[in-house]
Amino acid sequence: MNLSDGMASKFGVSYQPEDVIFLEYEPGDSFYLIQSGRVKILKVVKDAEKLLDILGPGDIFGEMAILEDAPRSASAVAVDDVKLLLFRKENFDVILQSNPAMALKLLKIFAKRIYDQRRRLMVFTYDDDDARVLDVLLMLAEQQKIDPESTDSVELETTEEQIANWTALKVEDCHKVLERFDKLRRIRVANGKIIIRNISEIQRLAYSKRKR
Amino acid sequence: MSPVSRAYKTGSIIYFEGDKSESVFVLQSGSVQLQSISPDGSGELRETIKSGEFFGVKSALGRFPREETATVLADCNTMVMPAQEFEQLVLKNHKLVMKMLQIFSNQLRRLGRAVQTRMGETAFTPDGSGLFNIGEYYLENKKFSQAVYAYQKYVQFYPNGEYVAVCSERIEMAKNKKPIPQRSATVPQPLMAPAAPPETEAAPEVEEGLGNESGIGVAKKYFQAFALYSSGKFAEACREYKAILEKPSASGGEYIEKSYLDYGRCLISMHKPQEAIPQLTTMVTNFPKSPNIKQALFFIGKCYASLNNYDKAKAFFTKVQMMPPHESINKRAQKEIEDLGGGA
Repeated sequence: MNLSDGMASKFGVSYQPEDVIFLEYEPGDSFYLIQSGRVKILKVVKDAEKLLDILGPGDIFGEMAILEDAPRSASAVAVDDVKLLLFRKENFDVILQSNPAMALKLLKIFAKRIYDQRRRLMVFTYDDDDARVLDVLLMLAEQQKIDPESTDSVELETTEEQIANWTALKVEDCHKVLERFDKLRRIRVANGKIIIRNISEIQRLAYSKRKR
Repeated sequence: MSPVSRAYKTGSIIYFEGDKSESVFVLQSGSVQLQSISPDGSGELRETIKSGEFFGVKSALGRFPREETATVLADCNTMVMPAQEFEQLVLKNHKLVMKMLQIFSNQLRRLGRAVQTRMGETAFTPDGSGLFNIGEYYLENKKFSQAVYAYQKYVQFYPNGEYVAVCSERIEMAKNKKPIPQRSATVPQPLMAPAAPPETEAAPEVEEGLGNESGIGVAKKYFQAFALYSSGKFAEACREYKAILEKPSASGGEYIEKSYLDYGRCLISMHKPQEAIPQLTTMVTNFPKSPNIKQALFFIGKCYASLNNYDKAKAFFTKVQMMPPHESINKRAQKEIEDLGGGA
């Protein structure tokens, strides 16, 4: 995914190791394509910095900023000497015109994001608290590419607060539901993760709650 | 493999929701309808495809199952191409790509708004405190360049924000590689404390002797509550705020006021707007000169909006929007008014 030298000098930016590209909560209206070097994506979760991802050449990050009027949801920090291409609303069209492969990549990312958002909205279609919580567990399992038919125990990287957030339930209500399923030995709520003993069982249970 | 023509009879199904997506279709003649469950679950969406239009694009590109069922309304001819073939076509056609990016980003924006509305939009308020707290985190953990970056961005984006003064002090500390003197054995001060008065920091040993009746005792409690609130422990934070407000002390005025405000915000985060309103209202009544008055009014507006009392919500937002000086919260209020439909 190389651009002409002219383009790179016009829209290119460089960073040195450990330089901050942006921080979470920072407002921003640009996004980046990595031309060389690596970038780490970090988030401070409960007083600890967590590494979410390491990206390399050809990867795009920060793209949601151009769509949503919301601050960054995670931080981006340079790992090596990094060369990036900086996109803004204004130069978007110009860059994509000369780089169709990138345009296609963006299109795919958007398609995937639309799917994810619709999936999130599906959760809210259930009125029953149990059905919502179970559906969020299934959604998180899907996102971790876990086979819903599997009978093995699986670990979801999530917290009660996050599940309350996804379900739009009050934290206490969500806690009650999770506690009950924990007592029934369907799941185990641990620090920073939820262990599902048998995901296919959760799937069946979720279906039965929806019908009622 | 190249595109192939395929004809379908009226009433037949081209693909079902949930099917694996491998190809993209172009309708050449006839009529096709796409049916899907509307994202908010309120009903079914139907979209008719006209000849010359694509369908099945998103799922094929994103490699996820079909989100809709495609039914033939009138005998039709289609051109079917494998997803990879379609990608090649996209690579050669800039206009097509830009058009699709535009459609997709509009959909994304709509979906994002729908998700936020359903979540009550209380999870996050872009007042800059998040950015400030990130700075605090990095300073505490001696990552000075990150800390400086966060504080500088805070000052840049929230020039009238409540932590601006603290930020410049913090930038100096970070530049001198001096971490926040917190969490020492004698002074248990929480991480996310905002705008601590300088005397607390300069003379921490005084604090111990003064006990809970003093203003500093209130400050300490307030910071504890704020730390709980910042880490998302809303129920616990509420308990702390409540305790502070049940025993108000005359000297802790600033923190009493902040406690009312944060207690209210905390209740909003817990989806209890009805309980938040009295707290916020008390703050407005008792501290009419507070620098945080606009915040309180803004959040009262938010409460009414989430209780579907749009007239009252609008009245509060309008109040905020009119109050000088013009700063980011005025803009946010303006935006809320627009979202509620109608100007000030």
